[in-house]
Amino acid sequence: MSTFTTEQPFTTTVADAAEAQALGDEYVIAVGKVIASHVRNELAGATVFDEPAIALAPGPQEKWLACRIAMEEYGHHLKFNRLANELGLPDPMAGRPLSVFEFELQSWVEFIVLKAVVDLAEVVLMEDLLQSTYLPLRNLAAKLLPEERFHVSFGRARTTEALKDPGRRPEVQRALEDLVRFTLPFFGRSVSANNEAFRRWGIKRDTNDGARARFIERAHSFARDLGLDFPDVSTTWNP
Amino acid sequence: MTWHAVDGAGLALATGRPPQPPGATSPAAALAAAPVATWPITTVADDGRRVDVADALGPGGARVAVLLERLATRPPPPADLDLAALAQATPAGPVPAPLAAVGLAEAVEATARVDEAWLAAVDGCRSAPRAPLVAAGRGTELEAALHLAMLVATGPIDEGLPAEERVASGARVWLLGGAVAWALLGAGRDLADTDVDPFEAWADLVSYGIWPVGPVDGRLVVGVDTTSAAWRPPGFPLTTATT
Repeated sequence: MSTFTTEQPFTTTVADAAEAQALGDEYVIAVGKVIASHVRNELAGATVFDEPAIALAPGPQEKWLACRIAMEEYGHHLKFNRLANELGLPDPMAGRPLSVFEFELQSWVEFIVLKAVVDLAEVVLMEDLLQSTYLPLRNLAAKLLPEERFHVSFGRARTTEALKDPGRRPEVQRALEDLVRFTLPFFGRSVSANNEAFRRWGIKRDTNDGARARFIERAHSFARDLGLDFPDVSTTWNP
Repeated sequence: MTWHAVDGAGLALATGRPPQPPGATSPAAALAAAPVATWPITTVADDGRRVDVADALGPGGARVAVLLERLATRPPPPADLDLAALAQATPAGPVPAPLAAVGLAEAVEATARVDEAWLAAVDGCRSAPRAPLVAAGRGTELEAALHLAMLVATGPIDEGLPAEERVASGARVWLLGGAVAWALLGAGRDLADTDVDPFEAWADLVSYGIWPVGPVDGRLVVGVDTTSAAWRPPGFPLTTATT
């Protein structure tokens, strides 16, 4: 067990996989868990949401934008997978994707709200990695964030457009409520040994509840701007 | 015996070092798991035996390898490329409309008015090969081909492309997916119920960096990236419709 604590975490920058391994198993396991989670979840997002959305798209422009987004998410999976390989992780695909990927996408409206909401959660997580002690992870997050932010802005813009038709408001409202609830567990349990290890080693700074609170605040703001009701949700999650 | 995807020097793509067992169960599975693509890319067994992309993908693999090589190495289109003939041979059947070769920005703007019935026909055609390929036990080869296409195409397609023109790269990747799947299905062979590969002509255009958009307002729009390579379609001044 390291001598670092969440109050006095490890702060030295780790330049590459060799330096990470020199720090010992505890650091490699912690940073490996964060990377492996992104490997699985970026692929799950591309497969479960983005690829089906190509067929749901109402027109050519939407179809090809959805294809582009699928391509970007798949690219993110590959880039995180490369980090996993460099670090010598045994099989980053071995764990389960997060429960948000159990959401069954049925319509284009759900997809655009999903981009505004679920990808916002990804943005919140990636922003935290911009301070990570593991430099390859920090650099990759900086590289991928513009694309994740584009996905969110795409979702917001298309949702705004959809709401110009008052008849679609109930569908958008329902999608927002469902997706916010599906997304909350994305940040992990309120009490989490993994999160504590990530913060001890400076891989992340946020607590799970802190990240969840930032997501709720920003998602709430999105809903308010569009005149949508935001569901009554908690910043804590203890299933 | 296991297999590894390696670069031209025989080094593992993930590590840049000689590959270590265990690898994947087949050459196609090794390609499907390749973390990055360099070109050339090949596969090597634990005993040193090599199988190239064309053979790893099985029937139709040679055509896929040709398309991927063009995407990776970006040769200019051949001087005798018949842009009009290739563009009019759309995946949904011949469209003998006047050709309009335009810059990417104008092509993106035109996508809002693409003939929807035509697009639906292309969409159906694009997804048709998956079921027969999977049923024939070639799902891994299909995944490997699509995976490699994505890896190889992403760099060249993205390069120099303004962020707002993501739709252009998305469309080309969409077409490329159909092209690769049809190449494996192989028109004229047992699995296909047609003698014609509907994506053949457009696959050539996409592999040379040209974006055939489709029928728009009675014209057949083709997008050409005017910001990068110096190639211009001979006889088709940009933004000019011609018969």
